[in-house]
Amino acid sequence: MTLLETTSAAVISTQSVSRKPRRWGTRLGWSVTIGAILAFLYVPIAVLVLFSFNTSRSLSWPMEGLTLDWYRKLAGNEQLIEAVGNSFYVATCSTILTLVIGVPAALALDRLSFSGKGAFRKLVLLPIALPGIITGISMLILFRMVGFTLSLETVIIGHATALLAVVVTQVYARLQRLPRSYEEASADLGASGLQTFFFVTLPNIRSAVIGAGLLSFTLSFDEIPVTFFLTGRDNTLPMYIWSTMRRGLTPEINAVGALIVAFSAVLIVLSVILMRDKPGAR
Amino acid sequence: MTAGVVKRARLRQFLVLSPPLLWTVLFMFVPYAILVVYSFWRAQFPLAVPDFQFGNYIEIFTDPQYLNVLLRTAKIAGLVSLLSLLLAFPYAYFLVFKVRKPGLRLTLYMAVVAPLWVSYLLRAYTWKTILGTEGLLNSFLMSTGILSEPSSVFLYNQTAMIITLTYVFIPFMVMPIYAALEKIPPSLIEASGDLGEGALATLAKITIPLAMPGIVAGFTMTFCLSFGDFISPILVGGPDGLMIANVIAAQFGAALNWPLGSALALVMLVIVLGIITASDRFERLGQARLS
Amino acid sequence: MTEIVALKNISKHFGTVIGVDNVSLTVEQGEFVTLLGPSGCGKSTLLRMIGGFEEPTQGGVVISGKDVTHLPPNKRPVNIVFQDYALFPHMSVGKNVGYGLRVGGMRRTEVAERASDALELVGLADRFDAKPHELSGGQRQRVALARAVVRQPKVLLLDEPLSALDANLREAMQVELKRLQRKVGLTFIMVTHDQTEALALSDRVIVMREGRVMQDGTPDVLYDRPSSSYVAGFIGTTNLFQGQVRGETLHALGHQLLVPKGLAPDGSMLTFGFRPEKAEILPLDAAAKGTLPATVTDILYHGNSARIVVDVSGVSLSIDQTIAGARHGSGLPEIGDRVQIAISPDRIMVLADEVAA
Repeated sequence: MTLLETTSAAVISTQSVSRKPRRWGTRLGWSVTIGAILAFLYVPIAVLVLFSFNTSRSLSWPMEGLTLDWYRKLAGNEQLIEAVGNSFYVATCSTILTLVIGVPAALALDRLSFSGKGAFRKLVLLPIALPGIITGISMLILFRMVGFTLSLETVIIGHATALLAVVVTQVYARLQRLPRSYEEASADLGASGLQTFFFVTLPNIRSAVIGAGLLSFTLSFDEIPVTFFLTGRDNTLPMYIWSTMRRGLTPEINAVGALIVAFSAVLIVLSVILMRDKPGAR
Repeated sequence: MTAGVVKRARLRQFLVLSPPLLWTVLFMFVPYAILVVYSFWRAQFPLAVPDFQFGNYIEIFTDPQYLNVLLRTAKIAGLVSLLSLLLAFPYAYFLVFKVRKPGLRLTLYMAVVAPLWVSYLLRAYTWKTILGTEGLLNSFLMSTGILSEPSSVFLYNQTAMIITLTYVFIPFMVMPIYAALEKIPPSLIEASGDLGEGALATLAKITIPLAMPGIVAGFTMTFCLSFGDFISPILVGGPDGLMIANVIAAQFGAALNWPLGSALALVMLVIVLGIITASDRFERLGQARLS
Repeated sequence: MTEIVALKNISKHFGTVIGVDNVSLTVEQGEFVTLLGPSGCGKSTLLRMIGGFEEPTQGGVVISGKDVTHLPPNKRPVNIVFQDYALFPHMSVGKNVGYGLRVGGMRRTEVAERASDALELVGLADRFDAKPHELSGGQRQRVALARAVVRQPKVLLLDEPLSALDANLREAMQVELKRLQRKVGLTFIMVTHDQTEALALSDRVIVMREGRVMQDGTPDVLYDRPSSSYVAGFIGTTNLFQGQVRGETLHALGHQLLVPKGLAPDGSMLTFGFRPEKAEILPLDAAAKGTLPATVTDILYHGNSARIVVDVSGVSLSIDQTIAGARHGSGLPEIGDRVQIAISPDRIMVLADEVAA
C-alpha cells in the first residue's frame, strides 16, 4: 500500500529547494492560475459563512442584510444541541479507541516481525481508500447477525475501524523517522518494554499521535457514510444536518456550517502548533 | 530460565500485537467475510435467508440498469480525477518549483490540505447553495443581467457532481503530486535546461515522468473516493446522477434487498481493490526501473 | 586476570547472508579490545550480540560466567555507546544520564546525585540541565559515555564511538576515552573501521573480515607480524611481493634479498611484505649486500618524513624516509633518480595467504 503512505506522508513533509528568478509575464500567468485555484477552494467556504448572516431565508444574491438571528435560532434548537452532544461523544470515544488500537498497530508494523504481517498491514490500511459505505454495510450486517442494537456505540466501533488507517499511517510515518537506537539505548540502560514505550517512544512520537488524534476527531465528527448505516435512533451532527438539508436549505444550516468551519480552523491551527517538531524542546 | 525470558519477550510482542490484531479481525476481516457470504444469500421477508446461489450476481450483470450505474459512476469518477489532476498539477508544480520562500510554500500547501478538515458534508452543501435555481450563481447572473430568469442547468446534473466532487477530493490529488515533485532534484531540471530543452520539453520529458508515481497515487485516491461517494449525488446530482453507492444504500434502505446490496458492494470492492493493486504495481514497476 | 566475556562458536545469519561466521573469543577483565574491519565484516553484529540486540543463530554468549545468549539487553550487565549516541532528545542531559538508574527504581535525589557525579567524570557537570541538541558533538559523545558508565556495567560496548566527530576532535576524544577507561577500570569492547584508532586505544585488536576473525593480537603484533596480507593491508601500509626462500636468500623482484634462516619453508612461492619505514634508500654507488636497484617515481612530502615511491622490476614499493632538516638539501632523492633500497632482513614479513598457495 505504498500509495497510501505517500499520501499521508505528504501531509507532513515540506522542504525548501532553491529557485531561479522569473520573468514578469510568466509570473502573472502563474498568479492568475494559482489565484483561480485558491478561489475555487475558498469562495464556497466564504459563501457558506457569509450567508449564515443573511437576513433573508433564501440563499440568493444580493444579500438583503446582516443578522445573527440564525445563530440565535441554533441556540434554541434542542435537536441540534443534542446532535452536537452525540457527535462529541462519538468523536471522543472513537478517537480514544483508534489511538489505543492504532498506536500499537503502528508499533507492531514498524518494530515487530511476525507472520501474516503483510496481510495485517493491508487490512489495517484498506479503509483509507475504501469507500466508507463498504465499512458501513459490512459492519451493519455483522451487528445484525450477532444481534447488536444499533446505537451511538455501534457508530463508535464503526468510526474507530474506519479511522484506524489514518492513525496507523501517521504514527507509522513518524516511527520510521525515529532512530531505533533510542529504544535500544533505553533497553540497554535496563528499561523494560513498557518503560521504554512510555519514557522514550511515546514522548518522541507524541506530536504524531496528537496530530492523528485531532485528525481522527475531526473526521469522526464529520463522518456520514459509516454513521448512516450504523446509527440507531440518535443522530450525530452531520446526520442531523443531512436530514435537515434534505428538507430544504436554510441559513440555519449555514450558521451551523460557519461554526463548524471556525471549529475546524481552531483544530487546524492547534494541530499545526502541536505537530511542529521542535527537536529536544518537547 | 533463559527460555522463560524468551517467552516473556514473546508475550510482550503478543500483548502489543493482539489488540489491533483482534480488532482488525473482528471488525474488518469478519465483516468483509460476512459480506461475501451474504452476497450469496436470498432476500426474503423479514430480511434474508442463508443460501448459496449466484442470483444476485446474475442480476447485477444481466440487468442493464446496474451496468449503466457502474459505467456512469466510473465515468464521473474518472472525470473528477482528470479535472483534479488538471488543477492539482500546476498548483503543486508552482509550489515546488516557483515559490522560493519556504514559509509561503507551506502556507499555500496548507491552504489546499486544510479544507480536508472542514466538514465534507458542508463543502458539498455549499455547492448546492451556489448552483441551485435560487442559488448564488443564478441570482448573481440575474442581478448582472446576463440571465433574465433563473436557470436550472447548473444544479442536479453530472456537471454539478463533477465540480462538487472535484472540490471535495482535490487535496488527495495535490498531496501525492507535491510529494513526488519535491523529490525531483532541481539540478535535474536545470540540467535539462542547460542541454537546451525548452520549458515544455523539460516538463514532458523530465518532470512529468518523474512525478508519475505521485500522479498515479493521486488519481487512484481521487478515483476510489469519488467512486464510492453517495452524498454528492443526493445533494447536487439529478435523476441521472445516481451512483453505485446510492444504489447500494437503497438496497439497505427502501428496497430492502441486503443480499443484492452485498453483492453490489463486493463488485465495488473488487473494482476499487483492482485499481489500488494496479496502481501499486505501476509504482513498484517504476521504482524497479529507477533503481 | 579473569575472563569477563566469552563468545562460543557464535554465528549470525540474516536470511541467507552470513553476518558472523563461527567466531570464538574471550575478553579479560579490564581489557580494551577493539573489533576492527571494513563495513559489513560482522564487527557490529558481533557487538550487538554481546549487547543483546541480536540473538545469535548459533553459539553462546557468556558474560561474567553467566550464559546470557537469550537475555534481552535490559537483563545484561553491559552498556553500549551508540554510533549516533542515541541521547533521548526530549530529556535533559542529567535526565539522560540518570535514565538507567531511574528505570531501575532508584530514588530521584540519588539518581540526580549519581548522574552529576558521572557528568563530573566526563567534565560536563555544568551541562546537567542542557538538552542534547544544545551540545556539541564531542559533548554529546561524553554524555553518552557518562550515561553508559553510570550504571557500572561489567563491560562497556562502543559502536564506532568517534566516527561522528571531525578529525581534530576525534584525536582529543581518543585521549579522553583512554583516560576514562583507565580511571574507571572498565572492560571496553569497541567497534571501529579506523585502524589508527584501534592501534592507539586498544590492548588487543581483533581484525575481522566477512564474518570471521582474521587475526587477534596486541597492536604491535598486528603491526609487526600480520598473519595475512589482508591484515597487513588493513593496518598501516605494506609493500607486498611474491617470492621464494632458499636458505638465507629470498628470491623476489628479480633479485636476491637477505633473510633470517627459517623465515619460510624452502622453495614454495609465498607472499612477503615489509613496512615502508623498515627500508632505507641508499645512493646507487653505496656498496651493500642484498639491496634492490630501484628508480624513484614519486615523492610525497609529509612534513617530518617523505614517502618515496620507487619502481623495482615493475613493482611499485613505498619507502618512508625521515627528514632531518629543511626539505631541500635534506638528502631526498629526485624523481627519476636511480637508487638502491635496503630492507632490514628481520623486518620482512611472511604472509600466510590464499594468493600464494
